[in-house]
Amino acid sequence: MQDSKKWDWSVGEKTIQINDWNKSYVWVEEYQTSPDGEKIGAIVRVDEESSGICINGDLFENTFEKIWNFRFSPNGSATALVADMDEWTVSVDGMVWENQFDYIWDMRFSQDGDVTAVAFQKDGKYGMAVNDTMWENTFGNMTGMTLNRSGSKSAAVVQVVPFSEGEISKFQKGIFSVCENGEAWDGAFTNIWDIALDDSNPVTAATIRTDLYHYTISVNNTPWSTTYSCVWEPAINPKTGAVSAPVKTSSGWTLAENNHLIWNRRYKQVWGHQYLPGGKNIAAIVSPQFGKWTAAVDDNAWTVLFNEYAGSLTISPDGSHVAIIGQTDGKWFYALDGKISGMHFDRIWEPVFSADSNHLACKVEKNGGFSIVVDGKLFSETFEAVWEPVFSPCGKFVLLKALNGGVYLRKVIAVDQI
Amino acid sequence: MLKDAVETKTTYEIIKDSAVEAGLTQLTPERIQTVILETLESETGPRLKAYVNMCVHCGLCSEACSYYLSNNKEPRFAPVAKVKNTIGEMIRKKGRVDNDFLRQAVQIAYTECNLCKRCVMYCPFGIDVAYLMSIVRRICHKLGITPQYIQDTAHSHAATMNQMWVKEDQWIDTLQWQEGDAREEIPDLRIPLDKNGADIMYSVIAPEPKFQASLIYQAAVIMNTAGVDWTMPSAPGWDNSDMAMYTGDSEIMGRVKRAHFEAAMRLKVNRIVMGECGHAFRSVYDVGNRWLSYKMPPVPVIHAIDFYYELISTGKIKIREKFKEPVTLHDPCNVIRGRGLMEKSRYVVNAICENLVEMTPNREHNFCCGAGGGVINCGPPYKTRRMINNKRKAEQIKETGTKVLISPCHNCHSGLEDICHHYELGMDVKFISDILYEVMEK
Amino acid sequence: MDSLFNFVYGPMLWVAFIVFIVGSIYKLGSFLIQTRSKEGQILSYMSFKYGLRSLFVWILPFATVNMRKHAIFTFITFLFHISLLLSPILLVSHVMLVDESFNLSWWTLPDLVADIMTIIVVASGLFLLARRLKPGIVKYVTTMVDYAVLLIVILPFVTGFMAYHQILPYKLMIFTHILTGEIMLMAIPFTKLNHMLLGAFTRAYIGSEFGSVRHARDW
Repeated sequence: MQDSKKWDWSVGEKTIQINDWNKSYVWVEEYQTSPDGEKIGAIVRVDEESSGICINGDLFENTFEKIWNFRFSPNGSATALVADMDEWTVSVDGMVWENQFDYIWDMRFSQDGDVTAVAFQKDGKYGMAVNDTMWENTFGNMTGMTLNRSGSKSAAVVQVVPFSEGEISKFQKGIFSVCENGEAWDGAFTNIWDIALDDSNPVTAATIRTDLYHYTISVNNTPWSTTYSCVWEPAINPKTGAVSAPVKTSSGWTLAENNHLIWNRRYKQVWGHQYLPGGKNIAAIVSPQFGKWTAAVDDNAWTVLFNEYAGSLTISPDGSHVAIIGQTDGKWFYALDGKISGMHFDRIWEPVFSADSNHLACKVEKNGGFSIVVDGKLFSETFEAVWEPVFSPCGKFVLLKALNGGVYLRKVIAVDQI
Repeated sequence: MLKDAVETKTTYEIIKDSAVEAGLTQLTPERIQTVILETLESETGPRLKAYVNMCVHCGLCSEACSYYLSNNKEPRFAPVAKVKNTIGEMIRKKGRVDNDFLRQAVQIAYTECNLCKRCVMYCPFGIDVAYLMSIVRRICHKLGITPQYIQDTAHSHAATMNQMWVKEDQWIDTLQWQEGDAREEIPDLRIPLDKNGADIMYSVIAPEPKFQASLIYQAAVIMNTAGVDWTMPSAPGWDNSDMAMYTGDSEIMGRVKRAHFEAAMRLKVNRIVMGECGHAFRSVYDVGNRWLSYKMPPVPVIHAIDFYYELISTGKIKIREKFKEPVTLHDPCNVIRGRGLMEKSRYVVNAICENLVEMTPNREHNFCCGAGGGVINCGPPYKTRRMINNKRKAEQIKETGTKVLISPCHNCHSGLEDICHHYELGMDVKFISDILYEVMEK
Repeated sequence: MDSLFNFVYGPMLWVAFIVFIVGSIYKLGSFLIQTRSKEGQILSYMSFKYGLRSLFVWILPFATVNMRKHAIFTFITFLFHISLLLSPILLVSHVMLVDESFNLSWWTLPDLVADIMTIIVVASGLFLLARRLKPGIVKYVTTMVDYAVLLIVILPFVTGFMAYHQILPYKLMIFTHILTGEIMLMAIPFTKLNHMLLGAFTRAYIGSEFGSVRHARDW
């Protein structure tokens, strides 16, 4: 991961002209920016036959027939899925992997960006490739790929029993398993979804359906003894390795941990739960009454209710604050620790906390222009596009990456100046 | 006189479906009773009781139903009879019903009712027969006696989040293939994948990438020509369809809808525009969202008819030359009775065609295509009977005297093609986009 | 006979009205309370505007497509329901009895009109019966309960008419009239006649769904 302490945090603005890209190339695809904001790049169509990646106006030497899914990894590498003659591979800063595939997709990075994983299909078989190393085993089908934060574990739901469409009884007996780092679990379930991988504990959990009607959580291939009429994605306690998941009981949705109900209240919906750092508390998106949405921390639902949607649950690094975004009557808000933002927006992106947990910022759209809101204050300028804001390690500055009139702007703003 | 008028007098028979038969062998009288009573107790309330108890058996719903009209007014096909012979008996007998009863209930609920809600408009009390049939399907799902073909589709939804076992790479590859092909026509055309913050997420049903990729091509041309800021998701959640809603597997319906909404939320789009599909619209707009506790979809859902109306009425799409041949227009239940798009569909068709010949009756009162509600998805075993059941629709279409039939819904489209073929109507069934693509300025 | 008469005209009448009123309140109350607790989401879709719109359209004769498709049936059933509701309430003899006991009175129908309305109820009742007996969909779904309900509704009118016109011994007929009237009152909350109580709610609900969610007409 790029060490944000080493970034240029001096207050001010840097610009990069991108106006002329459109003139140089047949077309320019969606712009992407590096985490430190020093680079802007895009897939560009070089000529009728080939595409390339242009960064800060410079085109990578290698061009390809097809390129998609170009992104900067957390460590700043320009990464994309590229193909010549229908042979696909991963390009990292202009260098391609040795392995080639019939198709690749679902590119994922470890938190530090040092690990890059993709799903691949080669000769009709499916697997994952991590830093150019393919899983040892491949499968007839694969869904639900995931990579843990450290990049040490990759996993997916794989089909382990030969199956043809229409074979409904075979399906119900189970054809899917979890494959972790290339090794599939023994046995099979009717369905598996939402694999959760942990960094510090040897725990892998997933939602399973053992027939058409019984849902539960399987932890390291051992299902909980209790089943429910429905279960959503599990989460793993970062400290203890305990596994929890929203479960549907006859009286409504609630939260279960290690096979026991741990929340007393019943909701119309519970999902997207996360452990707070330290593992003692859990926050989730809940619907306390039909059609109304909010967050709950340890079974205490906030009183602020959104009529249409609540999501993007975000927890501050020290665990002292919880933020969500929500929609009522087509207007978007954020809510911090149960208090709704005074302002509303046309659109709002995921909340971002500063490292010291004292500041909150979001990318927003208001009246057709994009900007950022920091600690409840809307930045005075609007832009044609902005990227999600980043706080300096000390929390005193915020990095704003924006586009206006064919110019890319990298602005560092003092938080107290907004 | 239609070719099959005589054949429609064939006697009624229960069609053998291997999955239903296999499911029945697993059932005991105790299990049947427990499932029925538990479902009624835990998943229904006073609404169902009121509907069943207050129905005075006046029979006024009967002529609303095209099954009844197609079968020479044979009583068993009237909505009230279907209720009586399924959920009515289950309640009356307190769940003590046998396999023969269940065989018949499966056939009625899955293949002799399109859940089109036309009869709801004919009942003085507004009894929602589609809801009652959905409860029957829910019970059949829980008993494990869903017809094979539609059950397989529900399995596909559960495993892949799409209707047709489309694998994840096949989906993206198909989009890129269509994008490449369309560039022969419009050199800088793009199908932007995963474009965060786009105005529109365009979603389709899995039969499009599987069998009808040209529809994606046409949509891409329309989007690019109109200069729309759009995107399509590369990850599961791209499919808006939902046969789990029709098998009675509410849990999978909820999971599939959640994936769809989350795809839109992840991409931060302002709205979802969906292709010309009816049941998908019902599922996203009216049914699946409710199971998740969304009163209305958390992101506005715009059906293709509505979207074409917007593009044409704002001048973003201009018509080069109208389609000359007379056309007729089918009103799909899920976007007409389900969303009130009847005037907009006429605006669009009149904008692209010179001569629209109306079917009679039309708009909210149009006859169902006979395929929707999961009926066509029950597959080949039921097809012959389905054709008999669609005779009234065939007559209605034939009366228009046109050779082109526009149907802005996938299920209707497939069903109407079957009808046109079976009754030798010699008609060409088209989506709006087929004609729009042909006549627009590019 | 006198003691029986005194019973049906005394305590039984109280019982009938109490059963009718308390039963109706119970029926409606439990319907609404259970809807709230078991299917609360339904209430969130209820729309005053579209619920009333639907009720209004369906209470107007010939306003809906299906009413026009069945013109004779519509004509008869509207007359039937209007007569069924109004003639007992506005009958001079009934109002006089109320006035006698409670010192309450209201406008009444001329006897001839009430008589005609009674004949309408009975005649249309026979029409409904014939409809149930005629081969076809109505016969197919008709159960004994449907015949019983029809009988319960018509009998008080037949007997009332006979008593008024002194056909058969008056005392016997008035006794039967009161008794069958009481049975009908008590049957309202507990039989299909409860459509009198719940019909407006199911109508308003579907009207709300069609109007505010689906933007379509429900008639």
